[in-house]
Amino acid sequence: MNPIILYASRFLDGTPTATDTASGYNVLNIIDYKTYTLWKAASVGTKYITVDCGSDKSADALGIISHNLYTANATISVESSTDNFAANVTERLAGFIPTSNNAFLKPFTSATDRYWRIKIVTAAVVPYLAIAMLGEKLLFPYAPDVPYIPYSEGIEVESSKSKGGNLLGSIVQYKPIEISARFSTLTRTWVINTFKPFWDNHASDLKPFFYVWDNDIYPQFCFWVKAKDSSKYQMPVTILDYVDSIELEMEGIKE
Amino acid sequence: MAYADELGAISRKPSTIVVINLDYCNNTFGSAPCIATGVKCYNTKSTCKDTAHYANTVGKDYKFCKKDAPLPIAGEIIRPYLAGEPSFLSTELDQKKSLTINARVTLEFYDEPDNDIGIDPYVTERSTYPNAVGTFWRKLFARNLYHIGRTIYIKTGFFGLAESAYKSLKFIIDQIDFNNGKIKIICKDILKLADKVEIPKATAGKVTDNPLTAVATTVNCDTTSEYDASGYIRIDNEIIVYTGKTATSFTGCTRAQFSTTAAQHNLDAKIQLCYVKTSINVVDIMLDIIQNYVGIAAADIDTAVFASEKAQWLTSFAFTGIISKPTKASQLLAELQEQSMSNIWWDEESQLVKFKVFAPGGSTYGSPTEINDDENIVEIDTDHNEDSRISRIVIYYVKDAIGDLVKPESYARSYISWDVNAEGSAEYNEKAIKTIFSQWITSSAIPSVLASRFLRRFRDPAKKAIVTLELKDSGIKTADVVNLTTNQILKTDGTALSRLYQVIKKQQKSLGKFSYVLLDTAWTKKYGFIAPSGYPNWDAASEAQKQYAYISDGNEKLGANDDEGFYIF
Repeated sequence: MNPIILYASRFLDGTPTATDTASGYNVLNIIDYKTYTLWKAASVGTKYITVDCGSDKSADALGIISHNLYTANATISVESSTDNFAANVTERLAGFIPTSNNAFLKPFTSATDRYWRIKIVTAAVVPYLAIAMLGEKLLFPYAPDVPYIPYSEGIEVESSKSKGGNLLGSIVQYKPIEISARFSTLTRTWVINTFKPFWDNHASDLKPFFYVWDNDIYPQFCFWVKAKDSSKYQMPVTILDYVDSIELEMEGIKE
Repeated sequence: MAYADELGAISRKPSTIVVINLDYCNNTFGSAPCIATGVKCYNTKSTCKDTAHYANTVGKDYKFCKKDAPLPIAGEIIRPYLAGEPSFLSTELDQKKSLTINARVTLEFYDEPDNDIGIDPYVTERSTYPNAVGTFWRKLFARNLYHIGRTIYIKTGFFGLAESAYKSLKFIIDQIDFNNGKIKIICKDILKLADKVEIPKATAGKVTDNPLTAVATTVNCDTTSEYDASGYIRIDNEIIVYTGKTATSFTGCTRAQFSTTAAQHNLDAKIQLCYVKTSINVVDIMLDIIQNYVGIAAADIDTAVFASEKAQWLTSFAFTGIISKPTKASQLLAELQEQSMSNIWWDEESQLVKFKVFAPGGSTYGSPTEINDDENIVEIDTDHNEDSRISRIVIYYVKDAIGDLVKPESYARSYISWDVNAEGSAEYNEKAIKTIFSQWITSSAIPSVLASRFLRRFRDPAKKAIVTLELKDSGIKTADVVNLTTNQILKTDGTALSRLYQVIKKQQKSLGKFSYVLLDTAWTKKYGFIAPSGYPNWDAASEAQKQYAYISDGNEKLGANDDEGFYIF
C-alpha cells in the first residue's frame, strides 16, 4: 500500500463523549494533539467514544497513539449511525486487537454518517489512549522515491572511561525520529486538490498527524509526526502538467 | 530491573520527572461546606470566594518531563515542558568555617498553550470552553499566587521503571522568572527558610510607665500579644526576666539579668523579646531553632542522627546564649556549627535535614567507599588549598549579654592556641589565624577541645581534590568519607597516596557524570572508641570487636602480630 496520512478527524466536528472517564482524565484529551494528555476509562467493560458531527461526514481510517490497548487485550471497532445509535448501528471497522501499544492506523471502507463512535471492549485492564483520529485518510498515489528510509532515529550517547581506561558506563538520550519522503511525478490535480489542503490547513501549522508508509506490509511503522520546523512547500511543475516532486520532511518522538 | 540494577548497568537511559505540589482546595465550589456563588474559583486560595471554608490538605501535583524524550511513565499525564536537565548548585560544606552553603536548583520549562483540562476543575462550565486561552505556566501562577515556599520534587530514574522507583530530591520554590516563552523556577533547599526567620523576632512593644523605675517588678507596656507567656526581655541595656504577663504588662519581673544593670527606662522605651538558652546542649539548641523557629517538621529531620552525634561527640558541649537582638536563624546556626565543628545540611536524596560532627566514623571505625583511577575516576584536579591552613586559633567566650558580637572587649575570656612549629621558619614561617567570637561558650573546657580539633585538621593545608565520577558512583553523597587513591596525589616514594577525604560538594555535571569536591580529612591515624568491658583480648577478638579501641603496648602496637594501635581523636 502507498503511504497514508491521517490528519482529519470526525471527533473535531463535534464534542466527543465517553461512556465513562476516570478521575483526573478527560475524553477531550483525545483531540488536543498531545500524546501526554489522556482519556482513561473508569472501569473495564464495553466503552464508547462517540461524536455527533452535526451532519453526514465521511471516514475511512482510525488512528490511535499512546495507548495500552494491547496490554488491555482490548477489542477495538468503529461504528456509525443515523440516529445516534438508538436503533441504527453499522459496524464500519470489524473488531481487532492491537498487536502492540504503539501507534496504529486502520483503514476501512469509506462510509458517511452523522454519528460515529469507537468501541473498546476490555475485561481485565482499564484502557486509556491519548489521541484518536477517525476520518478520511490521505492516500498517496505512489510509493516514495527510492532509496527510501522508513525513519531515522537519533540517539545521543555519553560514555565515560576511567583514568585507567576502563569503560564505566554509557548514558543514552533520545532524539526525535526523522522521516524524509520524496514523491515524484504526482499530477498537479492531485497535489492541488488533495495534498495542498492538508498542507494549508494542517501541516504548515505544524499540527501533528499519523504517517505510515506501507500499512499492508509494515503497519508497525506508523508514526505520530509533524512537519519539520524548516519545511517548505514547493510544487515544481513540468511541461507535461505533472509536479516534479513533493518533499515531506517530518519529525516525531519514538514511542 | 530495580533502580540499583539500572544504575550499575553498562548502558542506561536516564529519565527525569519534576513534580510541583501546589495548594488545592478539597471542596467543590458551591457544594457544602463551600457557600460561594457566582463565577467559579480555581480551587486555589487566591481565587477562593469562601475562604472560611477553604481547605487544603495534600495539594495538587503537576508533573513534567523533558520535551524531547519519550514519556517516562505510561498512562500518566506528565507534561513534556521541561527544557533540558535541572541545573544544580549543590550543598557545599565549608569545613574551615563549619558553614553550609545551601543547595539550589534551577528548572526551565517551556510555556505551552493549554486547554485547562485536568487543571481547571470547572473547565467545562467556563464561557471559553472548549477553547480555553492562555499558556500553561502563566495561568497556573496567576491562579496560584501563593506558590513561594511550596514543594518541588525532582525525580531521577530510568525509562522502564515505575515512578515509585525513582530517586526523589525535595526542594522548595524560591523564585520564578518568565522570559521569552519560558519560565525559570529557582528552588532552594528547605534550610533556606532559615534565612527568612529572625531569632528572637522583632517585637514592637513599648514601655508605658513614665518612667519605669530601676526597682519596678512589673513592666507596663502597650501590648504583650507578641511576647511569650514568660521569658526574657531587653529594655535599653538591661535584661529582665518575667514570670507572667497580662494584656498590657509583664509581671513577676526580676531586674538586671546576666550582669546587666537595673536602670530607669523612659516612656516609649522599646521592649525586645530575648532568646535565652542557659547551659543547654548545642545539639538541642540547633534542633530548637530548626523545629520551633524555622518551622521544619520533625518528619523532615533525621533526629536519630542528631541524637547519635550528640551522644558520640558533644555530650559536654553545653552552651549558654543570650540573644537580645533579632538575628537570622541561619547566622545562629552557622555559629553553632562552627563552635561544635559540625555541619547541618539538607540531604535532598533522603529528604531529611542531616547533622554530622567532623570526626572519624561513628561508633564503628567505618568502611569508606574506595575511589581510584581504574574503577571510578573519570577526571581529577587537585588544589593544594593553602588558604585552609590554621596555625593559631583565638576563641573569645563568656560574652557580655549586650556587648557587640565581634568586639573582643565584649568578652570576659579568651583562649589562644597555636602550633609553634608550624609558624616557625623551618616550616610555614607564617601565622594563619582563625578567630571565633562565641556568644554561646561559657565553659573553659570547650575552647581547648575546639582549638585542638581545628588545629589538628588545618595545621597543614587540607588538600582538595575535584573528581568527576560516572553515574554508577552517584550514590556517594555530601559529607560521606571516601578513601581516595590516585596517581595525581603521591607519596614521597612516588607511589599513589591512599587517604581519607570528605565529600564537601556534589554536583551533577551532565546526565552521566557527577563532580565531587573532596577535602582531606587529615585522619591519618587509626582512631577508635574504648571497647566495652568484658571484651576478649585483641588476638581473641572478632573483627567486629576490633572496631573498638584497645590499649596498645609500649611500642604502640597490639597483639602478637604487632597490629597498629589506636589514637584518641
